[in-house]
Amino acid sequence: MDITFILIGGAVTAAGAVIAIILNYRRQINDLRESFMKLSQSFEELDDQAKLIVKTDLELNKTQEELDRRVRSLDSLQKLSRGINTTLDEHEIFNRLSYDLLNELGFERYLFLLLPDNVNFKNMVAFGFNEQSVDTLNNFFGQNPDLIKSLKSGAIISSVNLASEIKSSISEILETEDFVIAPVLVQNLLLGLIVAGHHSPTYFLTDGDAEMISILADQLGQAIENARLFEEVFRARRDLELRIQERTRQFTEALERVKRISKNKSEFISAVSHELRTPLTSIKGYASILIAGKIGEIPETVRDRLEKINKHSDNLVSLINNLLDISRIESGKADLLFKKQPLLQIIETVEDLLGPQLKEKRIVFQKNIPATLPDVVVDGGQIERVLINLVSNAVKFTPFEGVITVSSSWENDYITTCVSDTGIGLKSDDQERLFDEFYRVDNEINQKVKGTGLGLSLVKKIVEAHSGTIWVTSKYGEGANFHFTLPVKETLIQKSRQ
Amino acid sequence: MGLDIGIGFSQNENVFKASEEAAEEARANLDAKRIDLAIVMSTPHYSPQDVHPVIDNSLKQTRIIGGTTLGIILPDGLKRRGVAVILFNSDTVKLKPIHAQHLHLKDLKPAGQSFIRESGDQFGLRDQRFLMFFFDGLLENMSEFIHGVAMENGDFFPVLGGGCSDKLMFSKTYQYHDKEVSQKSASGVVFGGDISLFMSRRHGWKPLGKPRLVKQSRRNIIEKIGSGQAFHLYEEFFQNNLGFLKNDVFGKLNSRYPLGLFLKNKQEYVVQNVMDILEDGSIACQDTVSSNSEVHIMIGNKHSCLQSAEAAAQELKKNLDNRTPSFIFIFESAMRWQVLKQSWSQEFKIVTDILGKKCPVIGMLTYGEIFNPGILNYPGRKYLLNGNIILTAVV
Repeated sequence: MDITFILIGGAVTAAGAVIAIILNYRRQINDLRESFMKLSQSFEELDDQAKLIVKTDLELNKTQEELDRRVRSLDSLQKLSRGINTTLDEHEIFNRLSYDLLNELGFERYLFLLLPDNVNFKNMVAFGFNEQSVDTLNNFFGQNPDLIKSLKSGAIISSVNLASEIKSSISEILETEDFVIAPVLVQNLLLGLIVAGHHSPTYFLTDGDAEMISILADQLGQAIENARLFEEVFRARRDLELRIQERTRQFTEALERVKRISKNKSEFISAVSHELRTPLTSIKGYASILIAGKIGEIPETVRDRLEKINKHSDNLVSLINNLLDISRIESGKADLLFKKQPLLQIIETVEDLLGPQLKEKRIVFQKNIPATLPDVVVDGGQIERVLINLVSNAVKFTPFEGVITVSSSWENDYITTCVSDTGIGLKSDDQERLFDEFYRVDNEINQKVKGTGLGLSLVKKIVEAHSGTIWVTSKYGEGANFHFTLPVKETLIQKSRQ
Repeated sequence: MGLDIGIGFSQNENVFKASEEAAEEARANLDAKRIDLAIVMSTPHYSPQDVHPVIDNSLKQTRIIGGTTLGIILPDGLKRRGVAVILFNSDTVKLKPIHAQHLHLKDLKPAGQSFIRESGDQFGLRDQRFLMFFFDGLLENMSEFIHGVAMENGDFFPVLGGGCSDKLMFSKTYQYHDKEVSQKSASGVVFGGDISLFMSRRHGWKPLGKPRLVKQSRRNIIEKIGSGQAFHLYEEFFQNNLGFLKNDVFGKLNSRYPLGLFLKNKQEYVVQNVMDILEDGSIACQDTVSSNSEVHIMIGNKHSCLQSAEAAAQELKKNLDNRTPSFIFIFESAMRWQVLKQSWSQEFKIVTDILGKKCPVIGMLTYGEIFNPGILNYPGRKYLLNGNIILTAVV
């Protein structure tokens, strides 16, 4: 009984333990199931989150890609514009269309065409297209004048805005699914076209892409116009330069001819003068002997004639001497002895020499020479001749009790001296020819007083031999002013002679 | 110098001139009497059938390998258009070019075996240091070919390479061989002799959402993920945007949201592009995907890509341990370029700043990159990956 009870008791206890174990396992299984459910739920939540991430990522990427594309396009467009606008050579403009930059505008194939003859487009640059495409495109445009009309009006044609039939034809010619054809216009004139194409399943043409090509076409048109304008200006300038060169050559030749003639003339004058002077000396000598009565008394009437011969011989000698001096100076044969000396000293010598004539007409002779005036570098004897000539001319044309003034001033290494008088003055026509050889002003005084017309010409030659210049200013009836310049440095004379 | 290198590049619009200019520039830069190998890379703007004969004629008897690419990496950056010729000359390094054609018609594993076997004729197995090759990036299940190489030369034989690419049209890629150009092929070179290889790799994509299991697959085709068709994974995530993504399968889907496979033994995710979406909703990948693989949709952006490039460059620098390479070759996924776009130059600067500029850095944008340094980290399996920047330094 007890054993039975014990056995039963034991069995009950064991069953209880088993039940407890089973219950415990069940609880653990439930816990695990719960954990698994939680984990599974977490995975599902993780998946949902991931889907949300993907959705957001897609949207963000789409926006980012479009933004990136725009930024790249704008950057490339700016670089392209800078490139093509910084050259004025039309061919170089097309050379600067870099494919790497063009590629960033969103298309993979490009054709840059010009319309030189208003009939057929000519290929300037092609990326991904060949000449055959250009020929086919020309034919196509020939058969579809409305498209050209549209392009001439500034419209862009593209795979987005064309009727499907025309779109298919162009797509076939260009072998691209998407394309843009933008006109290159300058002042409403169709210069050419930009054809851009793309063929990719991942590519979708947008209005922005077409707009980029349109902007590039505008920039290209501007650059070509600038290049052509520059070419025009350049060509005109080159023609002008050529004309100037031709004229200069003609002038140089003429100048050489004039110099040659002038030299011949000087040599002729020199030779003739020498030939004339020798017999004149004899004439004058014989006339003097006859006048002196060394051959016997001569009648008074003969004497008068002989004295006239003597006087005219003197005039002739003076004329010949002047001619000889001019020709010597012109040919550079005259030996001028340049020396630094005060100008005032020369003026005073001339004043002394012409004192009697001045006194005879009671002319006031004024000298206006600054004390600080530097010395001039001149041949004193020749400048004396210049001043004698100018002052005696002034005496000749200044009325009684008139005024002759010699004044000097200094500027830029040159001294300008002016001999002015209160005489009858000069007409403007006479002023222009005054320094020509043998020119004599036609007035009452000159008609009375004989002259050779070589004095002022010789003066001019002497001043120019000193690397100076001479000119006259005058108002008819109010006196004349003769200005001439002389250097203060010997180097100026040397430089002038070189 | 162990290995001399001469680089030539041209962007001339005329394909013949571009090819000739690139070849002549490379020859001048190499400045050697003998040219041992030419790697030719060209962008899709240039017809490979026109490029090849000009370069072949210009370089006379030189052996040629290479292919087309979306972008050529040169020391001054990425070239989206052009022809590049890289010439090699060495008295101490052996270079054995090898080729395999019509791969789409072949059983890829034996094709891989005979491909690498070709080099054995020139130097023995012991002399072979590593294989670098270019293949048609549009070939499916190219990993079988790589496994064939591994079967022949062993798992510890380093293989690196990249899938030739086009302009993201995913229609045609070309490979350059000695005397011809072809598609659906592979051309490469076995380096031997006195030469070492150092590599690093990163991608920068992160897993999204809960883990899912590949329930049914055959080779590179994922048929079922979880309880539904493989593509339902994308339908769940993209809902209304799915149509757009389907049309743009090689664009945003791959660059933004590729598949990620978790490798249990390596405790990391590798990225796989969606090569195609089949009628029945299956997803075709480039590499083999086993059933019961854990799969995720991955997400990446510019920042994560730049970070990964920096990590790869730092790792390579550490591996190099102050050695100066003859050149650095970058196999970079075209999908990275799609994500980085303008920021690509930033990535290149990060890499060159870290690795220094003592040697030329060259490379290409790829449709698929092979990574297997042949060391303990990656034994037994060579991976055809996507989304990576693979830095290889040849010393």
